[in-house]
Amino acid sequence: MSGKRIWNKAILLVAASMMIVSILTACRGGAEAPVTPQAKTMDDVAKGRVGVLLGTVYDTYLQKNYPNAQVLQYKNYPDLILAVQSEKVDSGFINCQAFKELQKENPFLVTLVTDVFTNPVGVGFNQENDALREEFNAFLAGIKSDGVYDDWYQRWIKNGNYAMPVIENPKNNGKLVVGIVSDKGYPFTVLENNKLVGSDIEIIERFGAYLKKEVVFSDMEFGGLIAAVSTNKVEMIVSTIMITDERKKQVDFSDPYFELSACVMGAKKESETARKEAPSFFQGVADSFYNNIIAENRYLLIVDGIKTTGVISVFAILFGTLLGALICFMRMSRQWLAQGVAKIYISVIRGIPVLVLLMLIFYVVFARVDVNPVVAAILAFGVNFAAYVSEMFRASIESIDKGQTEAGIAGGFTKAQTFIYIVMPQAIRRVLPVYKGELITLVKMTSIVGYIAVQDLTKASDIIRSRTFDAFFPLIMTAVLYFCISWLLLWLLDMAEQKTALKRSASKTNG
Amino acid sequence: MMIHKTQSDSDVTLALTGRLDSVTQSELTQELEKVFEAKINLLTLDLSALEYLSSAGLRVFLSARKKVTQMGGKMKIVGANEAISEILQITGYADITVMAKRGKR
Amino acid sequence: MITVEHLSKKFGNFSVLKDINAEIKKGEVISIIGPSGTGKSTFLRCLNLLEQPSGGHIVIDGEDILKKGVNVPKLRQKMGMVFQSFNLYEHLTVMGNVTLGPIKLRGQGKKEAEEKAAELLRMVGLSEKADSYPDELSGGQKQRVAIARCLAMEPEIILFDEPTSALDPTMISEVLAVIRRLAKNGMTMAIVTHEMDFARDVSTRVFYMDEGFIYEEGSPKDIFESPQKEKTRAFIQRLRILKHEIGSQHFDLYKLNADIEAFCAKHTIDKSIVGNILLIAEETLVNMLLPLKKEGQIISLALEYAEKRGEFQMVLGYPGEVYNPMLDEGGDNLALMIVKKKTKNIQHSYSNGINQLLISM
Repeated sequence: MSGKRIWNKAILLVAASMMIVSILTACRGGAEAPVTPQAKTMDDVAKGRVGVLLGTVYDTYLQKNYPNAQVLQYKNYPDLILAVQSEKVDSGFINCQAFKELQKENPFLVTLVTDVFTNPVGVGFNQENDALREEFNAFLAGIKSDGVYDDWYQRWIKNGNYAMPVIENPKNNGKLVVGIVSDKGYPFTVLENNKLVGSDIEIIERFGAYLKKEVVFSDMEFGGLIAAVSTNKVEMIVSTIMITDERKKQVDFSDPYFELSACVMGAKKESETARKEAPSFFQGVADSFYNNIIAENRYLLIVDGIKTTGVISVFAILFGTLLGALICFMRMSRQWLAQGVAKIYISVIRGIPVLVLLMLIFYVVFARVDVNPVVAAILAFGVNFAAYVSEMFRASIESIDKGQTEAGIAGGFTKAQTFIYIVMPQAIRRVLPVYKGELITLVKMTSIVGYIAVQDLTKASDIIRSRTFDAFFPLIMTAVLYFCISWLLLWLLDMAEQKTALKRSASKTNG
Repeated sequence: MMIHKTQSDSDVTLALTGRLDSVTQSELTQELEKVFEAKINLLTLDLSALEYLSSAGLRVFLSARKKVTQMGGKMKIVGANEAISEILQITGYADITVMAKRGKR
Repeated sequence: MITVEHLSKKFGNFSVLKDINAEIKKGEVISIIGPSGTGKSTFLRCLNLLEQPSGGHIVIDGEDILKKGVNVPKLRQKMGMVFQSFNLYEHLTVMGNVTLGPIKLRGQGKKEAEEKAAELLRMVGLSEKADSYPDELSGGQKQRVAIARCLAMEPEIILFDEPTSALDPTMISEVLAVIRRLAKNGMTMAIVTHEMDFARDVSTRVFYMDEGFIYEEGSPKDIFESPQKEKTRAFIQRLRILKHEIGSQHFDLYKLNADIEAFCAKHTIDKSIVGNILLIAEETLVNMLLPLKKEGQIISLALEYAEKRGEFQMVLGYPGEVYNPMLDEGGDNLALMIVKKKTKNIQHSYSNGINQLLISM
């Protein structure tokens, strides 16, 4: 098959998938939700299914005060809103400030209970880093006394004015690494036109300017923040983190910089919603496409995500294959030590979920080393890949008839030559089908790197969803793109195979 | 060996099944002694189910023929298979008995 | 060219080769024959060190190859080997199989190697299969490719390990024809084979191996026509032997019959022949020998089946005075007549107080 035809095929494929995405997106308005009575008090709320964000105080609050409540945990706001909208939960329990913002984008959301409780919000520091914490408290006291803080509070929290002010910073005093969550949502942290903005971002930038340090943002999952700061991966964490006793055990907090109150939201019943005229099918597709890809140059996010996912996949495959070959060689060696090490490696690595392995490598193995999370991800996936492919290699090598090895040895080849010229070419051909399957698994597995603050394709789609609150289009687009990456890698592998392999089919048809 | 006897008046037929060798010949000898208690006109030995015959059996046949002839009767052998006929011929039996070909069982 | 001294090989505690001494000279064609499991293949595989011998010496052109520091792969390049199961390289074409060694090991250019390979393939009659893969060939064709692959390395000797044992009968001759041609051209060869006619025609010398030794060796004429040792004779004529002894006066005819019938069933002997054997055994034993047997004497009966010729021989041994029952015209003679009718030839001999009656059927 020529390269050009491949590309035509690929484009067609993507186009067809986009069509399916659009159809699904356009049709979803049709499903009617059944009418159920709406809760008005916290006690009513606790009788139904409540959605919260994973690892937040709302989760803890419910468990403490309503132990019998059915609580479902979500990773981010878009997922939670989607759950409320699709009635996977009866209500969502979040902070009132974020809710106000979400309501602008999602008019079907209604307030059920307001100001359930309030909680101070602070910045987290490593417990051994008192100096930085003291500096922050001094900085906070400063802006509170000179009116900067009031201005900040008025703009972001009260008025909902989201323009970032210009902050002078000479940046001549090194760097300040700050852990944030880029899809936290308005007014706290969002990615707007591929730039971070929000109340938290302004606080950080102002603190950076106060220290004359350049701020470096490390974007991660909310659940990963505390681990990151307590292992010194970042110097401080700022993501509207509520100060709780539990968290205080892990990190030290600054003085609170404002109070957050808790609200319960629900979805408007169908009868209450004045349904908008459904846009035409093509208009729907065009809108989705524009919102998720064109607006604010979001395609740049996607392109970066694809690049990261691609880089991690390709290097993890290369590293994993080489390591797998080494492990396979050790496993087949007659030396008991090498064999034992290989056996233990294979069974241990295969017994650990790859997410745990990834976190172990990043937060434990490299705890004291400043390592690029992409490199850690490549190592983790490579190590995992090696454990699986080494056994595949071994099985395929052992499946080659011993007689051929014997013929090679008897013909005057050394053991190594026999392996290279006779066994390996056949073993490679036999292992390819399963190897390809494992390769696809690896590409898909990389979608968890968001846990160690790597912005890959999945994370890019999460960020877009956090801004557009359109769950379907970005998700299905991500699915299609993963498929395309896998497909492209397999195609490259096929090309490499055809380059090196036999003109077997030719001789078959001729003979 | 199994011997099946049928009699009408003084005509006796003995049908032999299995092996007639130096071990089993005594069974036939005893059976014949019983048969010769009365006068016999025609003694027929049906060998169509006989599988094996050795010289011990031949000797029994010989003495039986002698006895029947003394009584003024006749003896004939019928249905012998190829291998057994060959043995009968070796000893010249084929000349002195009436061979009647019979179909196999 | 190759001298083997006191070669032994053990697998664990099991001695396969015990004490092999042999010499192979340039231009000789040695056939190694013998029953299965007597170490023929192991002996061959020791010669090129596919099996590491447990003891002894293998001297090739004056050098003991079991010493340390010998370049074994280099040595093997001069000793081709053809296997029972062909062992072609499955991923290479016929041409690739033949040229891999010369290109990688002898430094020949691709063109040079392919020209030479084409010539060898013509020699084994497979010119038009040069671009085929092994799985497209019949067994006989595969084995001819394997021979060409050996020849491409220009070996000084070729070891054949049962080259036709895995072949359909229809394909054996095409492989043997190629080996015959090599023999005619003066190639030195050692062949482990079960093809007796072929071994007789093609070899200059035959080793008969049994019990881990070279039990008897000699020219094909010596080994095949007048083997000196009992086991060799039994193997060459492919004798199958049933032995029976009669000690007590109460002889169990039916036990003997059952043994003979089982023995014949094992070698799928025709029913009418089985009947004759039973008859001869009964007549000779019951009517001729048992009546003379005294208490404590033992009569032995051996039934030998020469598989190759499909012939039976019965050997009866009995002690006492010189006595040949075949000359005894006493009694009714019925038994004697039956035995004479059913046999080809009967010989009587007497030695050390034992009469022997050799009855050929």
